[in-house]
Amino acid sequence: MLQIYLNLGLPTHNNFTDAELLQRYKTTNNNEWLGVLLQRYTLLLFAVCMKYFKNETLAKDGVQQIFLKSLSTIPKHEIDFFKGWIYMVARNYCLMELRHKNLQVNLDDNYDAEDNNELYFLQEKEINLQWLENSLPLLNEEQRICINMFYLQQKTYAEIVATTNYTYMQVKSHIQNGKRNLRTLMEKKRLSTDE
Amino acid sequence: MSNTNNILNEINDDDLLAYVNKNMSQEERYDFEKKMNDNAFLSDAAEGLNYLSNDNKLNEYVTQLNNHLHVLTQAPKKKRAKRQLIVQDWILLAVVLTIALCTVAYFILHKKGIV
Repeated sequence: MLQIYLNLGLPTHNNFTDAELLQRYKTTNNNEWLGVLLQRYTLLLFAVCMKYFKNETLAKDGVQQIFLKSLSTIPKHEIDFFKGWIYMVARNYCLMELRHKNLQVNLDDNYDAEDNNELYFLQEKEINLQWLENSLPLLNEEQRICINMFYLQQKTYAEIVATTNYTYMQVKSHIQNGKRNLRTLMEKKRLSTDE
Repeated sequence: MSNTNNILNEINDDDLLAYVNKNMSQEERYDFEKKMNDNAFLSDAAEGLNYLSNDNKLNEYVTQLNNHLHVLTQAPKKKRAKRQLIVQDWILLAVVLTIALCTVAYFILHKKGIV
């Protein structure tokens, strides 16, 4: 069982948003604010590195490199959405490392950059269920089954696994890919409506 | 930490750990998975934690990484502190030398009967 970890290290400054911490750093030029900000993501960054490296030592080294890279890059960039930015830094770092080490990587085609875009999240919520039901037959069988069970029947991944005999990762992948395909269909529909 | 994540990042570390540990109700699990579908960061993290060989070490790793981050972000201050110490040493030496010179001068002048 994973333990709930202690949050040791820097003070957390819970009352500040990421943007406020960045602003404070820009105003004071004090790296401690970046430390507070980055510490919020330590566990997530370590977990993301674990996904790619599947090795604890490499993952720890990875997080340290991501910290160093962030500390040197943040002063040079205007960052509007820190969470998305740090995730892309981490993901790119992991992929580059794997490429350098010629390690085999099972890249999900689940995600693309726009998944991290807040605007996208907002648009996503606008998909209504009626439209979803109409578009479902256009997906392949696996994606249709998983999307239907997850979004329309509100079943958890574990329940879908139990019903379909797909693995957990397959369910996750079918939902992600199905969602992306639905988004593409929605875009096409929007374009055709605009015309 | 959980507060921070709830308010600021929409990613709650405690929820992530509860999900990986299967310590959630069906409803909470479904909500978390919905969140995961909209959030590649969270989804990758949840997957990554499954590859830990020793779950009990997570706390240790996070603490080590936070301490390392602390050192990285505090480094300039420490250098400044060291410089201040060196400056203080010189001041101390100068004061001691001045006192020693004054004492010697006093004895010389005293011997010659000037003072």
